[in-house]
Amino acid sequence: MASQKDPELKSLMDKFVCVRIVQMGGVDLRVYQFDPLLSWAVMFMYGDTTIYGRYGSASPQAKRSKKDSNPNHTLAGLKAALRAALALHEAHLRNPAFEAVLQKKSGFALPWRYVEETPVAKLHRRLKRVEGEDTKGCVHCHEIPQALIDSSFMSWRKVTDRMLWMHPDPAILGLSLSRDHCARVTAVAEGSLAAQAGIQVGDDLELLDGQPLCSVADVQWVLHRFPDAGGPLTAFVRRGESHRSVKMELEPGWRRKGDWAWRYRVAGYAMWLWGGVTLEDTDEGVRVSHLAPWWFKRENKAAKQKLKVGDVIVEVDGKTGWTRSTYLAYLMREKMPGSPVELVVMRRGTKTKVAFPVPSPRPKIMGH
Amino acid sequence: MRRTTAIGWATSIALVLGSAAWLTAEERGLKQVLDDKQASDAWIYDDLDAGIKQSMKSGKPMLLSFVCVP
Repeated sequence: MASQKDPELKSLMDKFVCVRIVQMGGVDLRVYQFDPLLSWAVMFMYGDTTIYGRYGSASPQAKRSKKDSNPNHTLAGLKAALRAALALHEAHLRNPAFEAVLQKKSGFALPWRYVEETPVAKLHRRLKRVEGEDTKGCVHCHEIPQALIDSSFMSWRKVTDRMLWMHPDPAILGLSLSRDHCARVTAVAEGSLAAQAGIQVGDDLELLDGQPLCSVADVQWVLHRFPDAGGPLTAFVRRGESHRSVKMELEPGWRRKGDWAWRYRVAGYAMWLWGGVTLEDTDEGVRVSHLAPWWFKRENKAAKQKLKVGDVIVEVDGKTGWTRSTYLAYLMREKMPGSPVELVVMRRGTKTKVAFPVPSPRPKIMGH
Repeated sequence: MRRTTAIGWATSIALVLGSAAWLTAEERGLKQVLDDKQASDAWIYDDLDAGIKQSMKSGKPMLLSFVCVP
């Protein structure tokens, strides 16, 4: 363990009650909300369920390798988050009114409290808390969004933008943040919301939407929690010794400018469910980069006959301007099983019409 | 009388040993079966309620580490 080798980290961690959670069965999903598509995520909270922050984030930019499973995690970043969480804890104990500042750190309402209560769990007995030596069916973190999406389908609830474009990367604001600090800006994209608001490289975001920040994961939490309908997002920024408040205006549907399809656990599932097609975004449109033969053979022969690797989807049901995320979301949310989807694809420089039925959804939890 | 006492002692010892063995399996089962080598004995293992109780008792915040054991 890193804490045994690093005295500073050990000293910080000694100030916490450390709990290792290895399964999501029996965990209150309304309280313990974090980016579930990680192999490791941390929440800092008090026993009265006041949440101070989160640590652990993933992004499409983070390249995985055997040596470094997630370059978003750094020792310096973790220490910064621990210090920030301790400061918030002291403030919370000193002043009960401080709880109001931390209120938005709490999770939001979900239709089901435990994964065992979801309709999909009734189909899959494996989705339960395991005890003692009965460990054949641990519910993994990454299975939670799948269970929620499946259960929403099964109970005719809407699959919201938040459920798909979860924990958005700060890049959606035009921000790149240091992994070694709580929320220090390392780059601002030209013309982005952050640039328009006057945020500069080297700035430290201290508050976002009124929430104090312990880490990049906290920035993603603020975005995750922000309404799909958009609105003004305020940031309190420290630049050297000075502070300033800035505002970024998020449009309705702002999440859809981001990408969720890189989250392979959810995206892979969606592709399995709705097309068995691996897609990638290109300047020309959405490119079919792989067709899963096993899937087509069994589930969707029509699409196999009509789609080809290398096709670029430029039109879906008469509409243009698709990304792989918006295309998959459209299929998932707007199409009934068996209803046709009509595509126009660019194939070897020629526009070709392709139509096939959306296959039947058969909720299935993909585990290990 | 002597025989009854001996049976009583034997039963008590068997019960104590039995419950100890059961507790051990219950307590260590998940960690062992998952072969969770990264788990530290200093940490509370897969028990949020125990963490909450200790946090309130000690006044310390909790660090909840959600991990996927491969």
